[in-house]
Amino acid sequence: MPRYQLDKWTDLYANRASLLKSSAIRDLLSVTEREDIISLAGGNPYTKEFKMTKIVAAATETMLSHGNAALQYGASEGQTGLKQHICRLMAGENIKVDKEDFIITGGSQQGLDILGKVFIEPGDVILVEAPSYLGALNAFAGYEPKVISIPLDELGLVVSELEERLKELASAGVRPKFLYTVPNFHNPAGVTMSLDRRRRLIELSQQHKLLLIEDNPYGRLRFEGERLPSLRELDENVIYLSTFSKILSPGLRLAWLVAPHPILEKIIFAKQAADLCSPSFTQRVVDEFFNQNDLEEYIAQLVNTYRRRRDAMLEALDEYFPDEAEWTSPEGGFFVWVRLPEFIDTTEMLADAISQKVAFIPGRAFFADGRGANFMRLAFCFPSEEEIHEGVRRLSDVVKDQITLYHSVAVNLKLKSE
Amino acid sequence: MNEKVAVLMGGRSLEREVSLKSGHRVSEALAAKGYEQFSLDVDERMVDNLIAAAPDVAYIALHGKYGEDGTVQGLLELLGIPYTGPGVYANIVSFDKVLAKEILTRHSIPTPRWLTLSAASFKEMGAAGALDKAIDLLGLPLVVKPAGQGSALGIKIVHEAEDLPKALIGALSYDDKVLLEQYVDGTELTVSIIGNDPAEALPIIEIVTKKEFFDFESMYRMGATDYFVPARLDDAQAAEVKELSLNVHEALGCRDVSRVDLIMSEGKPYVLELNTSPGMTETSLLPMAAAAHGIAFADLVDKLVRMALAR
Repeated sequence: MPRYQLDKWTDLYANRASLLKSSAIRDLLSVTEREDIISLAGGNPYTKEFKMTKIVAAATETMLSHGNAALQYGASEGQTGLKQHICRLMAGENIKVDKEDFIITGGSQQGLDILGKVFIEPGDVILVEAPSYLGALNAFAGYEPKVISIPLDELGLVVSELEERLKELASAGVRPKFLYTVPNFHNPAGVTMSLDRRRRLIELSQQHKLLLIEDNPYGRLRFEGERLPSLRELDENVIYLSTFSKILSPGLRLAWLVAPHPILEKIIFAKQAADLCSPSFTQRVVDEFFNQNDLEEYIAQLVNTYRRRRDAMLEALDEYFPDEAEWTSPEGGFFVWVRLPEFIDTTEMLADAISQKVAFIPGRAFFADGRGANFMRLAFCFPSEEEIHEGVRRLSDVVKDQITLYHSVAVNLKLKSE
Repeated sequence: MNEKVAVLMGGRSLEREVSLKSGHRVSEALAAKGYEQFSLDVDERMVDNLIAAAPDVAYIALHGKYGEDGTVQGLLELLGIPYTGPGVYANIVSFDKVLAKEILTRHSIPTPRWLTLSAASFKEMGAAGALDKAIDLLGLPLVVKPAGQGSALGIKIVHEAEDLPKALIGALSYDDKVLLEQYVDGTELTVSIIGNDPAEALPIIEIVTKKEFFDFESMYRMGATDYFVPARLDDAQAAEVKELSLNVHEALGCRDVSRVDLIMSEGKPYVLELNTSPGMTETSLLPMAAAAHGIAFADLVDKLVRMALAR
């Protein structure tokens, strides 16, 4: 009998091609591109307050003074001038690095993909947080790891749970390849790892020879509270990623990856194989931008904008959301993580929300193991304060409606199983 | 031959993304066939745009709410623009799974046992008190579906009575009315119907998924599902399934094209539903069935447009 092949190249694909897929949730969210829908879904940084003339001036100067270099291939490690500026940015976060200690990547996403390529054999165990950054899960998935999820709470990664899993793995003779964590203003959970847990995590990693990957895209966007030391600051063996995507522009596709030298060497080879070098043009424009401007002023402005939006979201949640819901109060970053009663499946609820013209990302998208059905991520980074208020109000109606309906369905239930 | 075709796609439905894929592919086929074509991402300016552009015919590449529930068809009737696919009545009764089941039942067409409940019946009339009777009638497992939703969005199979409320809340996120249906275990089949006087059944497709049912995730992804064309049925069974599908097409008042989904269980076919705007993406079933019958994609699109122009 003929097995019909939809795609005549089916037999040529590598196994991993079937692991790379767009999600149903992404398809559903396509409808939220429509203007009348308030989207609390996307984690897009707000770039509208940026003074475009500053980039124009930097680009003009770049092309007039170094035009030929900007149009040429560059070093795989990244452009020297830009790297010096990054050293200063990092020093501001108390991380002392030389320009030989890191490379420039095409967004942190490329850094994550390269880390997967360098470390993961099919079937290798890697550890991630539950929930975890979706893009990292996708980047690693292509290398076919076995993913073990460690829960988060208000204080970040539950390090005691990690310890248990590490012991179990050790007694089974399994050494995980790495732990991937977002300690500051987590995506999607919005939480920040406490100082105690950071110290304990470093101890555990030393004790179990566990490689840590610290992703810190939002660290500079702290609205309140005291800055906590990064894991990299506590231990030079930590691989550290950060990016210009949230503090300047994701369109530039520029990020950096710090790693111990032996690892960095492998990463540079992988980077060469992937794309030879990051774009010379954008690197030089950003280098020139830093020669002409101080980014700190812009970051301070961003922090103010995002703080007001975070406040608007938390106020609206307090005002409108029912008692059955709980949510995190982020001290920075882009996201609030909301927990709804267990009987609500936010993937289905999204349909109702879209018809009420508001969107979010269902929690299930952020778990490697299909959990998280009653969670949702709300992003406050892009919509205005008024839109956030109205969006949360609309969403609260959807949630309350689901709760009312559930009680009318489940109460007085005389089902056979009882 | 340069009739002007408006390809209606996208819109606000939850199946927007799939509709855009169908629409772009149809547009390319129309261009290759020499039609003057333009695409319209459906929004509140659709009527103005259609009046201004004055197409000879509209190709409906919309899926889901407003695209296959009679809404856009009714408007096009009003504007006097012929359109592809079944008319207003067929779209209304096919998109509402409850109406469709009622009509199938009246025509004695075999279909899994069913009943309907609404949000109002729970909130205003205490329908929760009758759920145990629903379970008695349909047995477990049972299937919960939103009455008006294309694809497989919101569909859940309920194995334990205690999971029923959650499944109902999920389905009621899509529509105020749900269909509860007996779960029939068997082979999934789909029959595409094309043409008029007589309508013709294309080769039957058998769908084999690893998952429990043909859900939204596997429906539009390459390689997640195996297809057998023609389905692995004996000649008598295949003839029975085709005849049954043609009866469904007629009972629901269809013309031009439709796709009937069935389950073959212990040698007996059961009709699940009929789609009036079958997908036209790279992984869709109607183009697959047409290809198995020797009709290339562009010729399929051409046929559908010709039938509309002939009205």
